[in-house]
Amino acid sequence: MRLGVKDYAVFLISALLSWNFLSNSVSYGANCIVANSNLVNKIYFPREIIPLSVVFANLFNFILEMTALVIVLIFLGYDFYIYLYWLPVLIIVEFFLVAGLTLLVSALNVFFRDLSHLINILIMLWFFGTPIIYPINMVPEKFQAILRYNPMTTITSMFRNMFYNVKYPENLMWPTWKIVVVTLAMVAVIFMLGYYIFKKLEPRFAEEI
Amino acid sequence: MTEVNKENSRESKESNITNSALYRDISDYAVSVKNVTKRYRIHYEKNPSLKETIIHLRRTKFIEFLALDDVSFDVKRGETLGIIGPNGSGKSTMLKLISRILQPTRGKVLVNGTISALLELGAGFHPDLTGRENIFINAAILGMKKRDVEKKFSEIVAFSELEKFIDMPVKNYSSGMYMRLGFSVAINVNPDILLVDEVLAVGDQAFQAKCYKVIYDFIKQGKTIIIVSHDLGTIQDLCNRVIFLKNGRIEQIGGPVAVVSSYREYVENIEMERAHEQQKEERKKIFQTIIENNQKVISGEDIDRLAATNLGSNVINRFGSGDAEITDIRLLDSKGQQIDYCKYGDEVSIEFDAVFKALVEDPIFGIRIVDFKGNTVYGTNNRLNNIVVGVLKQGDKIKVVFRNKIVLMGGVYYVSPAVGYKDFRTYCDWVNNMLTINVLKHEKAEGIADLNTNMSIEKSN
Repeated sequence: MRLGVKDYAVFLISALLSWNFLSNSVSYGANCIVANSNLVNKIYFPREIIPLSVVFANLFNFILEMTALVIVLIFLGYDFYIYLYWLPVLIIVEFFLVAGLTLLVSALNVFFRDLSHLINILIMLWFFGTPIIYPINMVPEKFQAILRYNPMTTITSMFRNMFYNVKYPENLMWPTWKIVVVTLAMVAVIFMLGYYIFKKLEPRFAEEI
Repeated sequence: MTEVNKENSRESKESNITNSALYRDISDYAVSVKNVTKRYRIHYEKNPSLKETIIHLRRTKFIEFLALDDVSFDVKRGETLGIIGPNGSGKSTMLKLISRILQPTRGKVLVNGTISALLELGAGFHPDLTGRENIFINAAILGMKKRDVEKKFSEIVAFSELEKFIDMPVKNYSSGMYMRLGFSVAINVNPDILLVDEVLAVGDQAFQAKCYKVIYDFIKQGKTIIIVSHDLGTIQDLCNRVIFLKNGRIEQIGGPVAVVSSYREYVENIEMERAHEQQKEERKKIFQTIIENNQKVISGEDIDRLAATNLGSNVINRFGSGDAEITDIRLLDSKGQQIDYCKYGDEVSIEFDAVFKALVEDPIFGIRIVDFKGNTVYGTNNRLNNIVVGVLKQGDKIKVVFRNKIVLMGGVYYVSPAVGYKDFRTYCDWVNNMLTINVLKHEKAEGIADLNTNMSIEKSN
């Protein structure tokens, strides 16, 4: 594939790590309540600990991976520190998105066991609908508008700005205020919906497993 | 004697509690269960799936099972409550509701204080982690802080007697070691309320004794304990109040002696019914073979088999050649009055009449007494009593009298009279369970026979 992208490895990894945080958490989190049925059946504790532990474990991996990436970037001469102040904000926003989705699918999967297969397919679709392996300007103009309202587009492109585009400032793409507001609103809704549905279904976990 | 004293002290303890609880403050209660109903949905299909739901446009078929039906009770602080009942009566569901693992379909469970539930020992142990790591994880799941676990760590390990194996992955533990470690962690969480589900039977005798000591210490510290167990002895020893659950409803609630004994009665009745069902089947088979073979004379073996299948008072069956016929059987007291019950120590006679229809040489007259399960309690005949009858002719009427002292415990007993030939194997007439004897209960002991024990206890050191 000729994308005309310099340092494609860095281009890819800079956005892929944040995507992996989401996809690993959600696809592993889908089964986490069912997989811990022995605990759910025998001991009472707040059930959200199980999916949240999955999210935190993946977050920890994500941070380790970024550390490794940063070391590579130092050797390659990237000025990654210029926009590094965005990192905590981005991690927090993505955390809420991932936590909301993981809570949602982990609770639903108790009641529909085949949901996890469906989720893996949906995640793959979402992956191709997010400019990670390709730059967004490769997409025809009319689709670009739609893509920009994908919250993961905003998050991954911010990570890419931070790690990759610092060296190629002509590629820097800052989301408009409108996009930022829509993204934050979507993250908030997904998190609250996930948490609400989880809490709603939680009392029935022990009987359904 | 000691048993009686123990009961008295327990009953008085209970009345003290009721007296002191004159004002009904909720903080007096550790657990308050109010009109709790729990209904389970049991799905026909193993795992619910989205595909099926979309195809059928609804969830798969299920049946509802009422595990608990409008149950209410309070457990006061410092009380030890036992829950007993047959399988499927809702005991474990009750504990799961109290420990918040399950939510009631209707009603409320109020809990005052921290709970530790010993529902399954070692639930949540990770097989690949060592005993040490699992102690920390399990204690954390049960709600203990890391600092507290560190403080109590050596205590937990010492209690479990697993010092040598504590750094070994628990997948290499035996099931006994696994349970011991689980028990040690759970009891060291130090909760206000301890829920115990049939887990006191852990480890060897010494370890079990230790477990009981811990439970007693809990009671002494004024902690609330709720125990589910089939071990009625344990329930009677530990609890000051007992609930008897049946089909999801409270059948009885009260002092341990009363409730446990009525549960025992219930279990005995079930057992009796079950035994009768079995005996009916067995009896049918024996009859069938006898009818098929067109047997006039039945053997001693058949008699033995039939006696073991007694059916109760109202079903009478008889066998024999018909050379003699047993016409009547009576139970008489010492004055010769006919009675239908007696009590321990009574002098009674069992009499039966027989009419001979043919000449029989040296017949044998006997009785056999069985309990409701069909166990032979007693049997005798004239040969065993060294009485020789001689030859009896057609038309001879005989009265046979057995004078006995009743040394049986309370219960129902059946008497089968028989007239047999001198070969001891074939019978002129044999009537199964012709007479029923009710022996009144007396409470000093249990079983069938009264050994008239004279008990004493002394210190020997």
